[in-house]
Amino acid sequence: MFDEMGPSAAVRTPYKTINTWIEKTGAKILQQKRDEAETIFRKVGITFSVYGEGGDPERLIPFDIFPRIFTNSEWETLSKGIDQRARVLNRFIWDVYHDAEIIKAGIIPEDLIYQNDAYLPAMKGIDPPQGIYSHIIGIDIVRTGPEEFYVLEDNCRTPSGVSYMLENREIMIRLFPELFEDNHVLPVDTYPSQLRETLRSVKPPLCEGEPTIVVLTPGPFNSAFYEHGFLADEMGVELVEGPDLYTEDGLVYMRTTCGPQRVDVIYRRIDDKYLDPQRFDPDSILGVPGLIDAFEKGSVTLISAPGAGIADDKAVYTYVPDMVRFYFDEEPILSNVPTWKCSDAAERAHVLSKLDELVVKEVHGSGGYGLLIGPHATDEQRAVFAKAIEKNPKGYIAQPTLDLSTCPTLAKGDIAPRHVDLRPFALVGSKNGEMTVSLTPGGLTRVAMREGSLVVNSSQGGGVKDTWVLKGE
Amino acid sequence: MALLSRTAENLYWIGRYVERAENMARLLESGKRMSAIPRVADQPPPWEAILSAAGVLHTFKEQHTELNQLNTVAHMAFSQDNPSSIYSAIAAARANARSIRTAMTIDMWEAINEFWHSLLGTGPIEPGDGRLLPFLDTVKQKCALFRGVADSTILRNDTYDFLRLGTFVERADCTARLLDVEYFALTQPEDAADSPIDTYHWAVILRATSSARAYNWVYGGGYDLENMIDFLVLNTRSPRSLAFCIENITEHLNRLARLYAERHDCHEICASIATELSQNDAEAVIESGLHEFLTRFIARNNWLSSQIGRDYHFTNMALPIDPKPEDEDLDEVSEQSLNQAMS
Repeated sequence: MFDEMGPSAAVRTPYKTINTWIEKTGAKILQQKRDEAETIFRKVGITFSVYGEGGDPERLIPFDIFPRIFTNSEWETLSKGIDQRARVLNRFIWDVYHDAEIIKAGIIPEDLIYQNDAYLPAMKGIDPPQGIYSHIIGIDIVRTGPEEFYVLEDNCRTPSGVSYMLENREIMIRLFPELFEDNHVLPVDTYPSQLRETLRSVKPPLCEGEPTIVVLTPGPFNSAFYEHGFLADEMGVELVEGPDLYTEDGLVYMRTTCGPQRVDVIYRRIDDKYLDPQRFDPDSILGVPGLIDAFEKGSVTLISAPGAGIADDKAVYTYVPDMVRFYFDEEPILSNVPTWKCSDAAERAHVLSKLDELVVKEVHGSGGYGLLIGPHATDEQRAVFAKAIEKNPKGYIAQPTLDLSTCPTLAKGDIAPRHVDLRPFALVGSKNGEMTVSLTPGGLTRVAMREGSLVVNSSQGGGVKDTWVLKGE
Repeated sequence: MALLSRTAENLYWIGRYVERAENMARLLESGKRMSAIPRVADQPPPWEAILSAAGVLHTFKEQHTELNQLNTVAHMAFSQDNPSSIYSAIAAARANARSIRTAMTIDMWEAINEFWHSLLGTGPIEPGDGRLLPFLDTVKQKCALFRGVADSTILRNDTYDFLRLGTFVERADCTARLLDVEYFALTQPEDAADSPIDTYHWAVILRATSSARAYNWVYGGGYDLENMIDFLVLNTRSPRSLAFCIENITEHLNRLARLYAERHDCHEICASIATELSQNDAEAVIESGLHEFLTRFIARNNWLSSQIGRDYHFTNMALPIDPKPEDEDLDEVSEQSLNQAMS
């Protein structure tokens, strides 16, 4: 098993400074600093809302104060891979809603796209501004060795967690200023201005002059509400809810103290199906009636475009390396985790015979739900999944249980290795008619707080860490 | 740049809720002091008057049979079923604040968020356990802290104006109700206009408005009905008087009119209330009947509040649209509810 810091006899280079520091100060001080961090999080109200489970509905995500650290050259490699992936995913979505060349070429089966819940027929032939569908992409990456990185999942709709990337850094700088002085950590706080610039760069054709940008939230009951407000605040734009907006003659307005005001770019953090009750769920009160008409007309840009989710489907995921070869005639820089598709008879048979070794995922599941971790499951749990797979083979994929890397983590007063993954955030915009991808040096490291656990999702009790990218080696 | 209507509305209600919590604390404090002195034979216990002044006697009676300190404090401070309790007001202020985090300063958010967290673990407070007065002090301090950080951190733009409008609309309402109910209670059972006012009870009212010392500065001590009315109704130097509140509302509405280059009906309503206050002196108010005067003020202040909501497009479509008040009708309704409250 690969430990990010390495064994105590051979601490890896990026961790040397912090290792020396901890040997000098001791784990006890970390405990104290962690309590301080928790007080700050609670005071500032940085919470993750979990409703419907009883208890405190505003939960703090456990914050681990031991950072996860990359060298600059490690980051360079990741960065190139993410850039390539963000471009190909956008190219793919454009293709799916236009000529569908990748289907005609026989690379991706037609069914997988057109029978998919994330595919929106209404989007066919519509051109979003600058041809960009997914503007903010969170790509989940795991590591199994010094050079071995795998993409676990792409998040092309509304990936969350970026506020934690920024707040974790704030807290770390507050608690350990001396560590930052010694370590030359690249800053992450340029993210909000880059986000704003990205949103400006894709203003709709009918917007003349400076676009009015808003962040659209489902409201305080949403688990990521803190983040929605945080981003609006950092960008200096309004945080709106559905009822704050309305459409008239294909234009979008917000209700203000001086009457209606035009809105041009909407960074929406609500799902496709709630966006517009006239087009999708008629019972939804989260969205804005007429919004899709306005989008089609080119009077408003939706970030991300409806239908972008077709690219982050867990079954479509398996084809991303093929997409890179097909569209760009390049080799993928980042590898996928080897994946078996249960829709294929031979692969299904393999999966069913190895349920005790594999991780099985529901294609449309998210947040750690609909997941079977074979080696840790009971016979009954495996039997339930076997039955489900046979009943709906298309609904499942399986992957080997990767030996995820671990990172030192403060657990019960002592420092112990815990499994981690990483979600960096790529921003896709446009400059002089060309697609641009920018990546903040850092990301959200999620950590499984329980010993041996591989589940890092915040909805399942996982924690977060600050992610450092060092300026030098 | 205009403000999102929902943001303006939430700020306005945050202002009102924080002010309301403070007034609940002040009323409970004066009740505690009143109950500390021996009562005349047929004088009612202070808690009923306190509940009336707070406008929560009917909700109290739905939930409690016994009128005592324990139940009164439970209802006015901690009840989640009483929307005007300190807990409910601060929970609502915090929920409003949470949904417009981006419009508040960090200090304002932290003040209200910590206030709410501190209330979560408090209560019930048993009579005699010595916790009531320290608790009420804390509530008053936290409200003052919120107002203070708002004053010293918020941009002097429309966010500030809407917050302060809520504060003064609520304060005007509370002062008028307090004065009305206390006056009514203290003049029972004889005919209201002629009966002597128990000086001690006036002192309690001053205490509930934290203005005993200020009163003495202005009038040189000695409780006198005309001075009391002047102080709590007409004197623009007294920060809890109706005239002071209306003067501040006028100022903030004028700032909004300048900022948005537009005047609305609420400006006219406010101007007419201000005129009415400035054209009266204490003697004239007593002449026309203090209770009638206050009842009319409360109705017009409410009307002003909902007109502000309409003029600035508050998004809560469920806001009741009050008809222009007809004096007699409202008076009757208020009289009735007051009689019920006191019976």
